[in-house]
Amino acid sequence: MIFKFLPGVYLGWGLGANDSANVFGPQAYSGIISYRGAAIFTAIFVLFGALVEGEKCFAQIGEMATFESSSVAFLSALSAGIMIHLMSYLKLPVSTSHAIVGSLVGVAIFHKNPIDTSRLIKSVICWIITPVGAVIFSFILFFILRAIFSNIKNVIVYNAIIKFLSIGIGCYGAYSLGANNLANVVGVYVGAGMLSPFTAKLLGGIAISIGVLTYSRNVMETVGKGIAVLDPFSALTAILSGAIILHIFAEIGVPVSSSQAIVGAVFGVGLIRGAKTISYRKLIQIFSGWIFTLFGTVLFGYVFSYIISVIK
Amino acid sequence: MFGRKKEKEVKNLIFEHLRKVEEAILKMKEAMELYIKGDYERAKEISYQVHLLEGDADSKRREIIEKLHQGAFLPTIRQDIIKLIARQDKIADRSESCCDFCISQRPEVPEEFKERFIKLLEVSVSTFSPYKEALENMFIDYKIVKEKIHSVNTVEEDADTLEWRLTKEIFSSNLTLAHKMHLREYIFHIVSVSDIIEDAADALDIIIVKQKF
Repeated sequence: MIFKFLPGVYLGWGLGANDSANVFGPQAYSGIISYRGAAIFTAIFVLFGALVEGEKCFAQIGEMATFESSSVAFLSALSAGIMIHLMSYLKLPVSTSHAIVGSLVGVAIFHKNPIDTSRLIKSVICWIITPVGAVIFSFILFFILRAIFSNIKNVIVYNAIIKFLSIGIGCYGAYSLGANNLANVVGVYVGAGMLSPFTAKLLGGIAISIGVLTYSRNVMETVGKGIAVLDPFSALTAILSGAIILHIFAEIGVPVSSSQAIVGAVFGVGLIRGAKTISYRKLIQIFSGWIFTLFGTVLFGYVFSYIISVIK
Repeated sequence: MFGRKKEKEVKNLIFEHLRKVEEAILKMKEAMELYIKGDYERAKEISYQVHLLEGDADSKRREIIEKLHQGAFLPTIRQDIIKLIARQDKIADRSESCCDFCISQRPEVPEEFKERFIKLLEVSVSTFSPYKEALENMFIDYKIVKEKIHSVNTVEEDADTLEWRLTKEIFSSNLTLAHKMHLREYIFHIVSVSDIIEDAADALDIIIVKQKF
């Protein structure tokens, strides 16, 4: 039985390793906080977010497909986990939200199970809204934060405020990440009735935290470097915008991609400042990565279901 | 938690560095005035004090860099502070160079130019006063910093104008070309002080601009 949860734990580990960079990458890369400190804060607040609000997105994943057997949940988590690993290996941007939904659809197609299309459409719409919403939020927050920062009178106060906000916003981002993305990791198990919501929150939250603590440094460096081309103020605006979007979708109950949120926010800040923050090549690469993840996991879900049915 | 203590230590060190640089530039002025007036021995003595003060300023600069690398200030500001201090330190370097030039090469300032050399020296050195106020206010109020940086630029322009006029007059005189060139080099050493003060003010301005949106 425990074996069936391993893909979920693996998925959680991958999520923690990959996505913590979206909330603490720039702060760690630019030296505001050490990598170790960033990882510890992220792990604590991801777990906190997962335990407090993680349950809100369970229905979106758990009720999207019909889980007539535990193997549907297992196969969905497995194909999503493998896709995350493959994409990470290829150093391509990846979204666990896309991966788990694609896997659910693939597994359901093979088993000829019905898919709750209204939930599927809701997810797709939210995925589209995520980067657009992040652009809008980065616009709004930029002007609010600028008004606050324009009253700063000297370098020591500026320094202290940036440090305080960097850590505070990073913790809030980690909380939102845990609240929003937990369902990607364990939602299928709750849907299949294999785990109680509380056990799922604990298992998923710990899996994500372990991913953060054991393997997030490299991605933090890569993502942090990409975002840190912005000045500290703009980077903070972008991270806060991304965190708010994640939190809003956690309240709505739809898991979305933290990478999409941060990319949209960075793009938005760049638009305001008249600076080119993301190249079109990078945008195309990110977009194709998401499409590839979605359709790749549909295929994986289908193929793995076929293989298991042959073995059985 | 947010490292205010380290920042205050750096602030104090920057002020200590500033005081050493100020002493060096004022001693240089004193030495050069004595030199122009013909008191070579006393000028030599004070020039040696400038040399010692330059060394002290250099030690303070290294202390600041060390403290910054221990984690004071945000990394982005840290780099800009290092650049600022490097330029501020050069004010003492240039003061020392000016003294060295006189003591080692003894340019002969003709009687008719002495007053204008002293005036040029005064204006060049007076660029330091608004710079000092600007730097002190970096830790208090950016608005004053901006005003003082503007004053640095104004005084530096005055020094440039005096430099241009004096150079023109020297080259219109009946001195030998070698003598003219030697005096030109002396003028260059005097105004290089106000030039580097302006550069330091620019470095300070960059710090402020980066924090305004």
